[in-house]
Amino acid sequence: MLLKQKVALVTGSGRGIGAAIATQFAQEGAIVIVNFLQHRERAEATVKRIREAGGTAIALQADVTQADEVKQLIKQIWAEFSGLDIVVNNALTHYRFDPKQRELLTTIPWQSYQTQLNGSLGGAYNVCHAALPVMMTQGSGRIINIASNLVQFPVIPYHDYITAKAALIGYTRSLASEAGAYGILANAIAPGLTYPTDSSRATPEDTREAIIKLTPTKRLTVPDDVAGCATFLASDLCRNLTGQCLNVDGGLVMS
Amino acid sequence: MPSHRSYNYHPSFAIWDASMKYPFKHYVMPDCDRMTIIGLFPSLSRYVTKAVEYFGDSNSQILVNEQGLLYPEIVAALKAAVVEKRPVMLLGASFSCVHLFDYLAQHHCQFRLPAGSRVFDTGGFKGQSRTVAQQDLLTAIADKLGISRDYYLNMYGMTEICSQCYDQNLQNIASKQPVKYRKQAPAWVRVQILDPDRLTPVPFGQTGLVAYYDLANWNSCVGILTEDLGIADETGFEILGRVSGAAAKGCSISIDQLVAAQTHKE
Amino acid sequence: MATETPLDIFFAPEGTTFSQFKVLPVVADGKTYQLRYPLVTAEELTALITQLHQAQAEVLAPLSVTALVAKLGQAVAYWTDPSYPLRQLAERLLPAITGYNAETVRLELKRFVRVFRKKELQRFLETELDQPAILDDFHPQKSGQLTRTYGPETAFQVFSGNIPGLQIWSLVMTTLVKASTLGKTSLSEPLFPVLFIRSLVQVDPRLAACFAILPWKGGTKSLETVAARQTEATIVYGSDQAATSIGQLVPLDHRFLHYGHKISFAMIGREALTSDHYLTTIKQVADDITIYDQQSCLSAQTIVVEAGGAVTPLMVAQLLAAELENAQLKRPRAQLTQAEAAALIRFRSENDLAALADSQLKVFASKQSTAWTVVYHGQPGFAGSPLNRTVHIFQIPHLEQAPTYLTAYRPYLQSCGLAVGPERLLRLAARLGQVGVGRICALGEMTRAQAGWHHDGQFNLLDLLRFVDIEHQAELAAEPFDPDVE
Repeated sequence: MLLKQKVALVTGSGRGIGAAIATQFAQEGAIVIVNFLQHRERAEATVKRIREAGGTAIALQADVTQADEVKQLIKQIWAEFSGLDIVVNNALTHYRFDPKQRELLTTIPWQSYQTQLNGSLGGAYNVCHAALPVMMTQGSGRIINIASNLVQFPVIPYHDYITAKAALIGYTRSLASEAGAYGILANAIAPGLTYPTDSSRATPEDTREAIIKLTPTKRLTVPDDVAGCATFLASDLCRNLTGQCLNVDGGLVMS
Repeated sequence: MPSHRSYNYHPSFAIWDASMKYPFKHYVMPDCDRMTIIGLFPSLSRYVTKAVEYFGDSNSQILVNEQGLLYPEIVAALKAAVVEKRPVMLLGASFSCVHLFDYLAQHHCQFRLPAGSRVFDTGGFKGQSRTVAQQDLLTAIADKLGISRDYYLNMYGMTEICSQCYDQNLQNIASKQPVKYRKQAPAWVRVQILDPDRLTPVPFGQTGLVAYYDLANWNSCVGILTEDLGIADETGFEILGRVSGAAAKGCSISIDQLVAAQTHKE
Repeated sequence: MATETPLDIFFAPEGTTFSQFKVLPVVADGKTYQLRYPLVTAEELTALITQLHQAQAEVLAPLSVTALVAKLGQAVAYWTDPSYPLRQLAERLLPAITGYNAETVRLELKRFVRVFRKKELQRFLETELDQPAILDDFHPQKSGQLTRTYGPETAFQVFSGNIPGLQIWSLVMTTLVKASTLGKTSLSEPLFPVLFIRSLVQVDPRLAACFAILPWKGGTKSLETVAARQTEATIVYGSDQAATSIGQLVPLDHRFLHYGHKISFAMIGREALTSDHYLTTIKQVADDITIYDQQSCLSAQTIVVEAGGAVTPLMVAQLLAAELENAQLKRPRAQLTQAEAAALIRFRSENDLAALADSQLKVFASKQSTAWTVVYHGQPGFAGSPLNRTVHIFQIPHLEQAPTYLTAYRPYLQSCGLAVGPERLLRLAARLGQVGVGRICALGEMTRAQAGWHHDGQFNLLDLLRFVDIEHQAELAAEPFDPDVE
């Protein structure tokens, strides 16, 4: 097992990519904190699945955009497990990837950017800020931020979403560059269109087909693809690799 | 380092007594139920008291007080045993045995104790290599008491734990097995020899620190990492002595000297 | 089968005979070296010392100090050449003999020999003697008299074996004052002084008669009595106990110098922990701990860290822990004996237990082995460490308070690696000097003492010398006896 006895927090892991990461971490022996915002029943379902498969997980509610709630969350994790080895910043403010409904440059209000920044960047900031002292004391830690391949290749320009994810990649790099001296590695994963998830369900058939056509592997990304990459970044297979953004999109983006 | 006296608090003696009694019978008295026990040490007094209570006959006695060994009484007891052809067990700390043999040598006393007599000691030899000291002791036991190597056994135990480990030679003899001298642990005790740098188990034949797991110590601490050096093979384990204080190789002052300097100041 | 190469790890003048030898096999780079040394007897030692006396009078005494500097400087110059065969031999063998990381040995050895280049030898001389020429002749002094100085004829030197090469510090000093040397090496590093003397002999073959370097078991009274009585000076590197036991053997009218066990530490001011400086600071501290695994008395055992910097003292502990973990990859620590490893395990357990009751105490430790340990204390203080990359960090509100915690250790204090701004440097140094510190140095340079350093607060040369004065009156009184006087 690659993550035996590691304590891992996956934000927004009641569903979609987060749930897949939580499940795979648990399969690899990690003790997983399934964080959720609203849908307790989905988080509990993830936990149940994990436990039935012989893994260890608990569901803990916290709004990652609220610093106080995050602080409380990390405190609770410390009290329960005396450590925190892995943080995956996956939570985001809900977003619908619907090319037909997207806002154009001329109409998009600043508030849309602000909302996405608060969700992606603000959430990651809050979690890292609270988790770093724990990791520094341990002399080790892994931070994995879920970004998007749209930053490199805006097939469809979801302005607010892409801007926020680009900020998250910048944050990952500068964080990595200071935290490295404490033995902490920080990386980002940039998934391509991941289907099916709640966010991508609105993406119509023709867009999906268009993307598949451009993709070397001739398929979309599934949540388990992202989870595999996260497991690698969280494990001891990944050493001395930090500040990187790995594209998990079938080769749509090559960098 | 300032010396440190160890205590172990027991909510009940039931488990302690049980963990003492059965291995004692198995390894120390496999051939008889009771015999004359001459106790030479007071320190683990519950151990000695219980040994006499469970396994001693009416001639058994503890011949030591605050002043030290009661030499004339010990000599008298040994003489009586010879006259009455009654096997005896001398039970003492290793260093008290050494004192006794010094006394016997000084007073030109020599015994041929009855068959089945045994010397049973515990503890180590301060400031001397264990193997050398033990060899001297064995020579003295044969010379002064007429007891062979096969009837000498050593116990390994400490205040911090409940259960003891014993040399297996008497048990081997009683069960007509080839005689081996390494120690065995009771079923509820595991002894592991660990690499001192990594604290991982070493293969048989390599020396390392002794880690002692004793389920009978359920009330305080089941596992103890000692500072004893040991070696094991498939037959059992052997204690090689205390790991020596690490003397600084170079011109850096050792931590002990510093502690001494500071206590002196205070 | 690997080839076996015999190698003498002793040096004795030509014509010396020993009745018995011992051989110690050491494997380096897949090659087995049979290190040979004599089991010297008291009679053999007496004969040796007699020879050394004679050679001193015949070879060393007539040499001018300038000539000696040139010869020593030339020998050192050989060692600054990476292709010098003896240097290559030392680089190959010393890691195998001592267990130290090979790259550390290679780097530190070349840095160390530079301390004794010709210009540095002059620095040593002229720091302590206004006119080094008084080692050769009488020279007029400002007070009017004529003065000349003499070193001991023969010096008995007890070397320690903790740091490769360190032995030549005193070897060079005694040679500069024209003493022949009987050196007792430690088997933990017997090689370097022998190789160095071989270089010196390469420069001037006559010098071979002036040196005898060999190991024996420390505390062998029969040998040490002979060595201490029959030489004019005894110099001991080692513990107080070792020094006391040898010191008792030295006649009162002979010189006796002792360089004892010491403790060094570092102090980091908040100005060295700003966001632009802290990483460099941490790297330097880690170097001071890593080089020779703290076996040198110059290495820091405690780091006193001032609060109020951009990174807190606790973060310094965390950063240092990570840096030591990296060091284990880059320059792994030496394999320890069971006793040394057990001492570290005990140290860790004691601190782990103490940490349960003290939330201000934190233990950072390597996970796979005892490779490194950092113990963080939330209050000011001072403590020794069991070495081998084990260090205490004490947080302190103001560095100015640190000397208070040092007074109990006064007899043992030696170097302080000090990272503060210029306006605090002299002020803090004065306070540190007052409580017994003998050397203030830069972080990262703690293990590398510079030429001219007052070794443990003492002189390098002056303590070996005795001075002879011709008073001005005597000079004047001699004048009338000149038959040519008017």
